[in-house]
Amino acid sequence: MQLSNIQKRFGTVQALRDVNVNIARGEIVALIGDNGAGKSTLIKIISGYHAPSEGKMVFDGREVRLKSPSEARALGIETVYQDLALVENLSLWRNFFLGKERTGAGWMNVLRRREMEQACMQALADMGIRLRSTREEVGHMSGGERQAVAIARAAYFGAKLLILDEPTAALSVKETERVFEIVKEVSRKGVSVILIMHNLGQVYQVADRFVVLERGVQIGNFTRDQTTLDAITQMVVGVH
Amino acid sequence: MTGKIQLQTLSGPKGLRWSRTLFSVKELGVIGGIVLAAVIFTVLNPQFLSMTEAASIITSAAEIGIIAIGITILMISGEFDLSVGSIYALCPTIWAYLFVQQHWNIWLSLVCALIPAALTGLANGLIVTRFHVNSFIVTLGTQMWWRGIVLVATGGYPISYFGSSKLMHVMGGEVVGGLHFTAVWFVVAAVLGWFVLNKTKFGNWCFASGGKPDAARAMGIPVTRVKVVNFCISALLAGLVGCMDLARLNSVSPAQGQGLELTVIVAAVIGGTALAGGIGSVVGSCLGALLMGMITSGLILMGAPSYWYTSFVGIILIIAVMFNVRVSKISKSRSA
Repeated sequence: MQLSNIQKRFGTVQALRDVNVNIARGEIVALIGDNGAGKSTLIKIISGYHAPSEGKMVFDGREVRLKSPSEARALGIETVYQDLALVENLSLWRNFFLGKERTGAGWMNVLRRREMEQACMQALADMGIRLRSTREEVGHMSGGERQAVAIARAAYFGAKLLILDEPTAALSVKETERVFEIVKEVSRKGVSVILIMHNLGQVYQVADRFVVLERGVQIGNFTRDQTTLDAITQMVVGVH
Repeated sequence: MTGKIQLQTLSGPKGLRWSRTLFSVKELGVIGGIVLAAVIFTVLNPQFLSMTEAASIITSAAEIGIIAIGITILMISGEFDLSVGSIYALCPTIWAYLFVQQHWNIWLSLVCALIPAALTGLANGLIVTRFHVNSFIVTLGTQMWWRGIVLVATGGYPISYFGSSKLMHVMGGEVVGGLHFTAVWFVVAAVLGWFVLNKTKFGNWCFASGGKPDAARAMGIPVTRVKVVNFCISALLAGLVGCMDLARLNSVSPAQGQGLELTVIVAAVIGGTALAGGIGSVVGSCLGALLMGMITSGLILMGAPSYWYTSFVGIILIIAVMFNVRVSKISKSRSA
């Protein structure tokens, strides 16, 4: 995905000014910056909620003008929100196939339960998540496990670019590591990932590239070997 | 690389599994209630276990139960319907008016009688989803509207019909030994309701729409359409049961069904359906209706004044919900 000269104005407010980012296949990009830096606006443009005022978006080699989130999703741009990903009172396999249920022929749309249970188990195993049964309610799982399942699901259904908004907020250190394992696993499978995180120490462990925003301006764009944790921390807190 | 991540919750100690399975049965409370009621009423009067009693229990359970099935599916998808009591009086009144007083064809009259039920469901659903008015308020409004209309149109007098008709026999006539066709329809509705909720895509969508509407929408589920369809199902079943009642009793009173909306919600809640949506089962609601039928018959057998029924149901409702809350907590902590 290539973003060039992306600008966004809301009335007279310039929310984004001249953002240029290239995201390679399988690359993990951290989008960092303080509150109000324009991270959410940029994400909403990429996921189709807002159209950019100016600039060009190229996805998979073709220029795209997204008119809606569903259009973005159809292209393979999927956003995973921590609280919105799964329905707690449904079992794992029902969540995994929610909205994309496999059903038998006929108007009743009878669920092919066994097939979906096995496919869910297999898909999670491919991502390195092993489990005995997919019939457990998601509400019984921990936050990190839910996040892992949500990411695995998005990858399974053909996401090419995953946007993760604060995927590790309120997770323990161990759980955060689990989520990062999944993120690395999907990137190895060729899925690009955009991470929005406040915790720079954590995001430094996993990201390949860092894009720093400040008040709508892109003030930094480094690969990991071009920078250090100290350097990006100082950029974000404004000592530069 | 693979195998590094294990979902811990899914591999708890084995010793806890049987109790976890037991406590994860949502209908545990109502099953306990049925056993308890059966024991108490039988000790007080052994007649309780006779075939005649069983038939009378099933007859009263059937009518509460069929409406409760519709309410359950609607409550699972996150909404209430308080208009069912009035629709239960409205549809048979129209039906009787058309074929008794206007001499229309009985089948055509039935179809025409059910149209207002479907339209009420549609109106309830659209107002709730489009105008974001709480379903409690909207359906309270439609309930009062129809009750008033029915009372005005009939002048408060019941309509009776003592002729015989094949359709009426199949809807509410006697099958054998005091058992009515309503019981057969109860079983049919229960099997169908259970199947749709647990085995079909639509059922999956109902649970998701009530459990977490935002997540459901994010996954592309038409939450609004699911709810509107369920309002229609609930209203249609209430109208249909009203007509079955006319077929069984040969008479319809414009005042019938007052308080019925709460009775069916009680049956659903006793059976483990959550007020907040996303949780519930058709089997539980049917058992809840059965328990209420048992209490009705048991109190009559004891010769207690029928007013006791209301008090009894109130107490059982509170105990059942306390029990259900406790059980779901146990099942959650056991698996964590």
